[in-house]
Amino acid sequence: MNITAITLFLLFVAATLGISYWASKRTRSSGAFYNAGGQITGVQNGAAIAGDFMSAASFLGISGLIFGFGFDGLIFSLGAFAGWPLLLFLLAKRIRNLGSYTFTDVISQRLERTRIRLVAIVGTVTVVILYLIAQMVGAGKLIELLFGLPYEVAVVTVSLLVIAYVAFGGMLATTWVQIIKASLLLFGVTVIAFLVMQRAGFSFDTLFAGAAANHPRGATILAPGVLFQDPIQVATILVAMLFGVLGLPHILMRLFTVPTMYEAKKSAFFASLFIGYFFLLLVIIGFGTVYLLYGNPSFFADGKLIGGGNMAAIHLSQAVGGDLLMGFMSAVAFATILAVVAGLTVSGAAAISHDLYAGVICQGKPDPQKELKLGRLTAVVIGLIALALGILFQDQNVAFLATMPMVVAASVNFPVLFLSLYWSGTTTRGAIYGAVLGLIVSVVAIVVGPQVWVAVLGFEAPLFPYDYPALFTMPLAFITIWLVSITDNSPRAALDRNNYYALLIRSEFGPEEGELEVAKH
Amino acid sequence: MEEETQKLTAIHKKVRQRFRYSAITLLLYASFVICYTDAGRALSRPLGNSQINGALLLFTGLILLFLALEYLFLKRDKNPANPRRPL
Repeated sequence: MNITAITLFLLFVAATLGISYWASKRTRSSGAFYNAGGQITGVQNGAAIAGDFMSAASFLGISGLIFGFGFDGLIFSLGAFAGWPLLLFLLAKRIRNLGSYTFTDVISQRLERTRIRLVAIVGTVTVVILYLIAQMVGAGKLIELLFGLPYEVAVVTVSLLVIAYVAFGGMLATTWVQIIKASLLLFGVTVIAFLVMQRAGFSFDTLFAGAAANHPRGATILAPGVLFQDPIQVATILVAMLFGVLGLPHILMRLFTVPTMYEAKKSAFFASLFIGYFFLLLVIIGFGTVYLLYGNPSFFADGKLIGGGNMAAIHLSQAVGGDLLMGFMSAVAFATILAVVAGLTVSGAAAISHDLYAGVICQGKPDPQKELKLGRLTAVVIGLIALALGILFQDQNVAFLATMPMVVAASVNFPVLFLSLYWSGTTTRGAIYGAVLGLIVSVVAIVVGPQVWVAVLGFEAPLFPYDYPALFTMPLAFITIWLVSITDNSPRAALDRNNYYALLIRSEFGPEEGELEVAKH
Repeated sequence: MEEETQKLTAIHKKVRQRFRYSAITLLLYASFVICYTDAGRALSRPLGNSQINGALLLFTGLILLFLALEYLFLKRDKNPANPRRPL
């Protein structure tokens, strides 16, 4: 058991629970619960978005991939980063000007409210649940390794803390948990990268030469082609990662936590800045693991890295900074999981209490106090579902679950959102057909692909050759929406098309006063 | 009516600008796949006597370019209520 890690983690927990208590005093309305009252600044929100997005999978997973396969691990970094510029160019302004709390608000502005909300809720809940399973199982295993705690204790701890943050402190507490986590993570990776470069005499040439000399595959790890050779396979990953980011409900939701559209755009830019900085440092950390760990037998047992490839960055922190830095980074990894799960929980709670209860059941006229109570209750239920799923899936190969949210977000949420914002011809029927087909085909393609068909079900060869089918399923959803919309002659279709121009002007100019005031019930 | 037409013209201009930035981003992004084709083999070779190769430079350059594009976009997309405000 790592005492430093546990002490630092307990400090983090105490600070964040204190923040949740403070936030609970300020969360008196459903608006405050969903968007922190819309009073977060652009820079703070950028840090919170970065905290929401830079997961343990990014930090530990990508460094682990570079440790094992070198350059090819960077594909995931580039994929995860490149969605942010497009979020700024295409979506930030229009989403902020049209929505209140969730991306479902945006698409239901011009399409038939009840049906499109139901479809968007299914898309949101699917992404949130899949993401949650991957996070919870990852959390349990990671914490087992880092802290020496039993799997179940780890999963229960994560669930209870997230319930405390979200149910009591809502989006305000979640935002500050994410900001603190992002600051700690960026500080930690900066220190590790600095110490690695110090060991390399501040020379990239020495770092890469050392990595090439130490890795069993030699200099090939510095170039593409060790893990992936097929350009189509690389394209499938890049498409799923980029467009997946643009359809993640918990990320889109953060655009409503700032007071103005300009702050929303600033948020997207600062999120990019923090995430870009993080991924650039991962190059140093990833190749640093190769440079400094391969030559050190104390990190290996039976010829394998202790704890597996995902522990490479943690071992590196010990190699360059001793037990203190390792304890700090272990605590940060735990905090990372908490922040991501909290963001997902707020998003799932909003899908049920705001999109379903307030938007569909109450037709936009809910009792605000009942809605707030339902939001809190849903957060508790989601926390418990996460706990159950974490325990249920503990022995499963969940690698495929990590791919599914991005593929589903890219193939369901993004096409509907993009076309409803940018194409006047989009109709409710088209959006529903496209979303449903996108969902079904992406799930089927993943199931018959290598991650499930071969790795889980044990068949010899996959029926579909790629892990990330979004390269095929996303265009299919786009084509379906287009095809069904242009052949839709229903009265509702005419209304959907006519709604576009009013929505277009509002999406660009905001309400008549100019800047959008924070929406309140 | 005239005001509406003016607004629509301004919106179309902005949309063209957004699509230009997005197209540049997507083209640059797609260029990464070249590293995995025969045409991009040269990117795998070390530059001069260094261990750094074109693929590593491309990765770093793309992240920095995307950030620069975002900064440029924000600078150009000024607040209509306050055109001097940079962000």
